[in-house]
Amino acid sequence: MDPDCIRRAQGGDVSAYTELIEARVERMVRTAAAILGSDADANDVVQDALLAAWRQLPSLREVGRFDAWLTSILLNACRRALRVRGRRRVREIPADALEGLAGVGDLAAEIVRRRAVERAFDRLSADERSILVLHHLDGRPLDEIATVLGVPVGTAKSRLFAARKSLERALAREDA
Amino acid sequence: MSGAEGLGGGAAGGSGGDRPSFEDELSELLDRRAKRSKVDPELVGRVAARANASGQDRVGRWAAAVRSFAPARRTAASLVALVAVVALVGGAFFVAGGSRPSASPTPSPPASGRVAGPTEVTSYRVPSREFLRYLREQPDAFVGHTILVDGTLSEILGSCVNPQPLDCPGYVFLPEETDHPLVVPATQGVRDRLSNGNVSATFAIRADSRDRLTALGVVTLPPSKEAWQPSDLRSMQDVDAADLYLVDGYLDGAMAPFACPIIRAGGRSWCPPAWIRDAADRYSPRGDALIPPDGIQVPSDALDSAKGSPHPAHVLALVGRPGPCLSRLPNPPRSGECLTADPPGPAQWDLVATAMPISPRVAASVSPAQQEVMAYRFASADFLRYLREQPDAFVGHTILVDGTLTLVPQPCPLIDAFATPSPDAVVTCPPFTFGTSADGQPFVFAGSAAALTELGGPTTATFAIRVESRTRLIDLGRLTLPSSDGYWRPSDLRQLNHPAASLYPVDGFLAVSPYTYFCPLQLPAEPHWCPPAWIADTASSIPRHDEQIPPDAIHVPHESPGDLRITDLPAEGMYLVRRFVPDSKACPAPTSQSSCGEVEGWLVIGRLDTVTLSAPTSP
Repeated sequence: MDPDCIRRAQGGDVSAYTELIEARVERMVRTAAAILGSDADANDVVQDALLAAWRQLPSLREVGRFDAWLTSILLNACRRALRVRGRRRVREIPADALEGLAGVGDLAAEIVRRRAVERAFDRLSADERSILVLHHLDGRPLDEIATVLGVPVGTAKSRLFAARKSLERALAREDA
Repeated sequence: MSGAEGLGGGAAGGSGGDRPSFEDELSELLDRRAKRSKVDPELVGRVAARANASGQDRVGRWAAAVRSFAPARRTAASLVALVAVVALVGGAFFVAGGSRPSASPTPSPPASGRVAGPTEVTSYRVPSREFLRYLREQPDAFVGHTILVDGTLSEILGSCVNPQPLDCPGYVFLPEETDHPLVVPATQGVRDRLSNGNVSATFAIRADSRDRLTALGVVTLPPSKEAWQPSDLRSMQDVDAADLYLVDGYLDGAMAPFACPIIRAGGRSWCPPAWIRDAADRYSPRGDALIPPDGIQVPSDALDSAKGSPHPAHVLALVGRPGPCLSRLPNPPRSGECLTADPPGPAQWDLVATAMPISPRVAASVSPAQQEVMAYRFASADFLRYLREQPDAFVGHTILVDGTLTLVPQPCPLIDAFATPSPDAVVTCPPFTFGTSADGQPFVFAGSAAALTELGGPTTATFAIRVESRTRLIDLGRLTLPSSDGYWRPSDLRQLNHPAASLYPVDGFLAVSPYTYFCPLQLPAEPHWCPPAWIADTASSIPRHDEQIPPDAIHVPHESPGDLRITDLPAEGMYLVRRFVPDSKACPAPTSQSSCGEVEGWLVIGRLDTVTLSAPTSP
C-alpha cells in the first residue's frame, strides 16, 4: 500500500496508477478467473474494473481502503459478466481441467469428482462465488471481506456460511 | 466417489479419513480455476493508455459530445478538431474526414468464374457505419469472419459506446449519428501505430462471436496497389488476419451500386457472397450493397418466379436492379442469362445467370427453410482431421460431432490435433474430445466419467461443439435425435431448444450416414441435406470418401468453372457451371445417368428442387 502513490493517481498521475495496478493485476485476474472460470472473461473483467476504478478514483476518500475498494469494483464487474454469460448459456471447458492426473487407476473417479465440484461451483451465484473466492483462494480474513463487501463482519460470516451451504446443496444435486 | 464426498466427505464434515478437508478441497478447486488464468500482457498498458488519454472522468462526456455533435457541423475538419488524438498511418490511408478511397475497382474477374483458391485470402470491407448497422441488425452474421472496416480514427476515452449486445472490442465504432464514422482504438499497439495523425484507416476486425470482436490490426494497402485485392492481406506479414484467419468475400472500396456483380461484371469487382434486402424497400437491395455474409433475403415471389421460369437451371443470382441487365454485362453468359423477357420495372427482380459461384450461404438463406437452424455433422475422426488441416474452417460455426464415448486420455487429443498452434494459442479441451482409436474408429473422449455413466458406457453419441476461434472450442452439450427416422433435420436443433440453436448460426447439414460421392446428385429423391461444400483431395482427382467438409473449405484446383468437376462443386446451394465433366472413375455405383458421363450444361445444385440439371448441350 502506497498512500502517496494512490493520492498521485487520484490527482491524475497515470504513471502512479500504472504502478498501483501493476502490483495488483495478477491477483485480480486470478480472483476473477476463479469466480468466472474463464481466462478471457477474467482479463476482460479486470480491464473493465481497472478503467472504472481509474474514473472513480477521485471519489475514494480513504486511501487506506484502496485495495478493498478496488476489490469491490472487481466483484461488481464479475457480477456483471456472470449476468451476461447467463444469457449466453454456454460454458467453456479449459484445457487444463484435468491437469495433474497421472495414473489411470482412479482417473474416472477423480474426473467425476473434479467435474462435479466444478459444476457445483458454477451453480452458485456471483455473490456466493465471490465470498468463497475471497476467503478460500485469496485467504482474506472475514473482517477484510466485510470491508470489501461493505457489510458488518457478522454478515460476512453468515454469507460465507450460506455460500458453503449452497455449494453443498449444489454438490448434492450433482450427485443426484 | 461423489462430488460431495470428494469435498472432504461432504461439507458437513463426513468421515473424512485421510481425505482433504472441505476447505482444502475448495481451495484446490479455486486454485485450479485461478491457475488457468494468464494475465494479458497488454492489459496494464491498455488500461494505462486509456487512462492517460481520458483523464479522470471525461469518458462519457467525450462520447456524448461526439454523438451530440450537430450534423451540420460534422465536417471532416470539425471532426478532426474534435478528436483529441488523431493518427496518421503510413502513406496509404485514405483522405481525412472519413472519405472513402477513390481507387478504381480492382480487376478480380468474376466473369472469368475463377473460384477463390485455397491460397487466396479475401475479406469483406465495409465502412464502419455500415459495419455498425450490420452488427446491430444481424449480430451473428460476421461471426467467424474477418472484416476490413474503414473508418476515422479517434480516441475513445474509456467507456464503450458500441450498441448492445456488443462488448467493447479493440476498436469501438461510433454509432451512426455521426456522419463520419469513427474507429476508435482501444489498444496501445494501435495507438502507437497510428501516431502520425491521419484520421482514416482500414482495420481488420475478427468477430469471434456476437459479443466478442477482436482487432487484428491496421491494414495498409501495399504501396503498389490502388485498391485491395484478395491476396493483399496474405501478403502483409504484420497482420494477424492474414496468418490466422480465413476471410472471405471481397468488395472494393467504393460503395457498390445495385446488382453487384452484374453491373460490375467483366472482371472489375468481387462481390460479397450475399446481399441484404432493405426491409423498407422490398425489391431493392440496399444502396450500398455491402452486406454481411449471411444476410441475404429474397422475396418469396422471386423464388416462385425462379421455380417457374423456363430455365430453372439458369437461376443463379437474384438481383434487384433498376434496369435491363444484359446490356450491362460486358461478358454475358452464353444463354438465358436474363430470364425476364421484358426489361424489368423498378419493382421487379431480374433472374440472372452468372458464372460466378454463389456462396452456399446464399442458397441456404433462400431455401424455404430460411429460418431453420442447421448444423454440420461429422464423425469425430474427420472432425479432428479437419481441425488439423484447416483449423479456421469451423470458426464461427457449430458442428455436430458423432463419436464413441470413452474416457479422456492425457494429454488432450484435441491439442495434438493442431499441428502448429500459435505461441499464444490456448487450445481448450472440451469435456468431450475426439480422437481415433488404434483401429481407426472415431472416438469421443469424455472429460467426465459422469458423462460416460450418463450414456451407460461407451457408446456413440452426437455432440454440439461451437468453434469460436481456432483456439477455442465451446461444448454446447450432447444432442439426442428427436425424429424417428434416423436423420437429423435442420429444425431438429431448434426443436431441441438447444443452445446451439438459439445462440449461434449454424449452417449446413449432413445426414447421419457418410455420403459417397455426388451428394446430392446420387440421392436426389431422398430427404438428405448435404454439406454446403465438399473438399477435393488435392493429391487425387477423386474426392475424399467422407466428403463432410468444413464450411469454408471449397478447394477448387481448376482455373475456371469450365473446368470444374462435379466433385468440386459445393453440394448445397445454387451453383452454376458451364460444363459438367465428372471423372468417370469417381462415379460410384449406382450412378445417375444424368450425373455421370460427358455432359455439358448448366447445373444448379440447390434446394429449389434439390438438384436440377439442365439438358445437356452436348453429349
